[in-house]
Amino acid sequence: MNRDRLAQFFNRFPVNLAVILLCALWLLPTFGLFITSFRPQEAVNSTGWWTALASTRPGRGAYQQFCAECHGDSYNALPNADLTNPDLIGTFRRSLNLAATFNREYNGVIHIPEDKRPNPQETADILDHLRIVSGLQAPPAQFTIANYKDVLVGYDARGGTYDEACAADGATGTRTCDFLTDATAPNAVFRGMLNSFAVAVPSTIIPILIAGFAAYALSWMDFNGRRVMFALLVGLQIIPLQMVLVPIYRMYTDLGLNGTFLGVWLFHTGFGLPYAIYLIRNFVGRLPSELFESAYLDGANHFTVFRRIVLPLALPAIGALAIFQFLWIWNDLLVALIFLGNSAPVLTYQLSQMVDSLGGGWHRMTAAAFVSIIVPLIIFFAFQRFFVRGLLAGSVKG
Amino acid sequence: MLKRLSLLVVVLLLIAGSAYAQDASNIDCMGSEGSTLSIMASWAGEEEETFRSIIGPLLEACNITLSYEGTRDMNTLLPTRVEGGNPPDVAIFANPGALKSFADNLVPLTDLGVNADSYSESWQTLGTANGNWLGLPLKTDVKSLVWYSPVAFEAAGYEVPTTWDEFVALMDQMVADGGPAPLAMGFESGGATGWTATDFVQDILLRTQGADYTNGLATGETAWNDQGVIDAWTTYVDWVNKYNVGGADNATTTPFADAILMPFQDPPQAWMVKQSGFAGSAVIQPNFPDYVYGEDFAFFVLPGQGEEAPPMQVSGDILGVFNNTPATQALVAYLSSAEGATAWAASGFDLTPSSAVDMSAYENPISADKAATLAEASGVSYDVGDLVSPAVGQAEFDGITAAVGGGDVTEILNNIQSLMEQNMEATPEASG
Repeated sequence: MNRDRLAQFFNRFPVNLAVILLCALWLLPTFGLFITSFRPQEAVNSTGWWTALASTRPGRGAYQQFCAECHGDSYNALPNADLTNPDLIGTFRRSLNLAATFNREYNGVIHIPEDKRPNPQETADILDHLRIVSGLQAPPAQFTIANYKDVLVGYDARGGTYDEACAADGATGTRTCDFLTDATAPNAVFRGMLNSFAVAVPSTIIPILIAGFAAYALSWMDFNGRRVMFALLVGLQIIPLQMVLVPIYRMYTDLGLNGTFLGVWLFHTGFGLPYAIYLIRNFVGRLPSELFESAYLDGANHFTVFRRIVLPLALPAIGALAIFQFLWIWNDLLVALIFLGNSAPVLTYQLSQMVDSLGGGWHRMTAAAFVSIIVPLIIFFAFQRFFVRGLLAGSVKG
Repeated sequence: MLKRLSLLVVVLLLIAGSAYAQDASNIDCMGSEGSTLSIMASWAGEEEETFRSIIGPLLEACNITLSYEGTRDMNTLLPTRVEGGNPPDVAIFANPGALKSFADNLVPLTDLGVNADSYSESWQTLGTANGNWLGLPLKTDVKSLVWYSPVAFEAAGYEVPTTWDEFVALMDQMVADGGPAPLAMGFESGGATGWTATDFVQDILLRTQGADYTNGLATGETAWNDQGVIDAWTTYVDWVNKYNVGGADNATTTPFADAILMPFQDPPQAWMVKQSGFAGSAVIQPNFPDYVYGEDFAFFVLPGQGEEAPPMQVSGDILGVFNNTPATQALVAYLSSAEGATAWAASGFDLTPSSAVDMSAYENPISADKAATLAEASGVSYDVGDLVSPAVGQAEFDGITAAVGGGDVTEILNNIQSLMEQNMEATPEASG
């Protein structure tokens, strides 16, 4: 018994290991980004995210190694060189200034003998530590939610945070410094999220609704040219979206649809339809014909069959398709940029605005990424069962 | 009596108030009151805020509603808008090449009431296509700067070099001292990787061959595979290998913004970084809020062969107008006026190319020093990479990246030259 288990374990071991490794490969960078999104700009600048979880800073250790012997554990063992004195530490603007003292003689003794000197990095760590000890600078914060706050209100200056700016300058023309008011302002990211919903929800429902009817018609209604029509629709998929941007933009200019939600809905519907029809038709087409025959025999018309039989059975396909369509539209920047632009900025558009032309504001991008990821994650987990559910199982006996 | 007196006071105050308002503002609205103005630019974030503050007085005085679209994807968006017959009223281009690709759609500035006197002839020529002056020079930045840390220089006993030979000797000294590398030359920048390097090469060229020779690269008068150019490229590649942090391998993979920070970290990873004027207020200061300009960070102009000031390499953002409306007329008039130029200078958003500017308006000490170096320079040379067609510019970026990676400089420059010749042949047809 035990041996069997052991053998089973070793049989599965390579597979399990591969799965774990693959998961780690995907999750580790995401985890790193997640940690980074909670770190202040200065911390991201100076150290990697993996150091954020370590509680101590390196300066204390370096001090113990190189300085504590003479200066003591409490920093003030030498009365002439009290390292807790901010005036003394303040004279060292950079670690280079501190390093310059190593060679100097104090009371006839070389400050630090040549073979015992810290390297430049250690010197910098020691100075950093002493600046904190002497009260010249506050211990650096390792974690902050400022990035998320900045993203939600759309605060996009190169340095500083929304809270700091509000504390220093107060309300300006572009902000009221009331978090909820600012977060729902027309140019804030939260509003962008609402706009994204306004774009994505109808753009998902409309094409799938039409595609459902079309798929039923193409698979179970007998009319001439059915196959040709289906082939044509499938063939439409090969038209790249970028090719039609200018013609459709021109058309929309004439129709006054630029900058309206309707225009974007129609565009996404047009481009979502071929694939949606293709996918649902393949699914509906494979339903057993006995189901339909018995339904027709019982006197059901096409609409009843569609509503009572096809729709419930095709739910997994429709659900999966809806998730894909929704995620694709949620993540789309190009279409929203061209047809909506700044008249109703969507989330992706807002996020692309967070960083200026020289890369300023980069430290907020990780937080922005997680803000934009939340909705797809919720959608995915909420509708995940559609991927795995096999409604067909047991629907036909015999 | 009292009532009448107070009425008199009120009337007097009203008169004084309106007189004051007229004095405070010389803005000519051109009848644009209450209209809307749409602007597309690549400025987002803090840059957008600054730009809005510059044109704020105009919008307020004329009650114009601004519809501003700041996008990093102007190369996608603007052609679609123009082709689709719905261009923004005004677009701000990062270089003259982009402006000229819309030469057929833009309104000549002379039709819009521009104050031409505010701009030198070379700035006007920059935005001229098919004989029409289309591009209003809006913003310029000096590129031939070397940023360093005076505090660190002092601690190490280094002096700011005043001649080319001193500069090279200083870098050799730094290598010999065994400390941090002399230069942070990382130039990774996504699809535009290479621009920092080509800027540097152009600065070397300006110092070894002079401004006329260098400017000739853009017009075709100087061949790209000429010996002088080959020498400059070779010098740059040598320097990357000798003086860069981590040598040539690191140069192509280190983001340019990270390289800018290297001399200012503690401990420093490099002694100096050659980068445009934006580095100070847009990168160093926001990343090190406690640092004081002039003590913790400062710049010197990359020295020339002799003691005299070398030519300055500059970049520029240019405004083009698609729709001739009262609002765009008012905007062009305002930006080209002394008032607009001074508002630009006061904003600290790089420098204004307008000669109508009041130099004392540069309140920010970094901007003031940059403006002073530009005024002292013995001439200006526009970034060649921005003047040539986008294809040649990209070939130059890719070429320098390949050269740093060990490619053959002569072969790379031969390719750029033949591409340049193809483009020169194609241009007359395209414009005709």
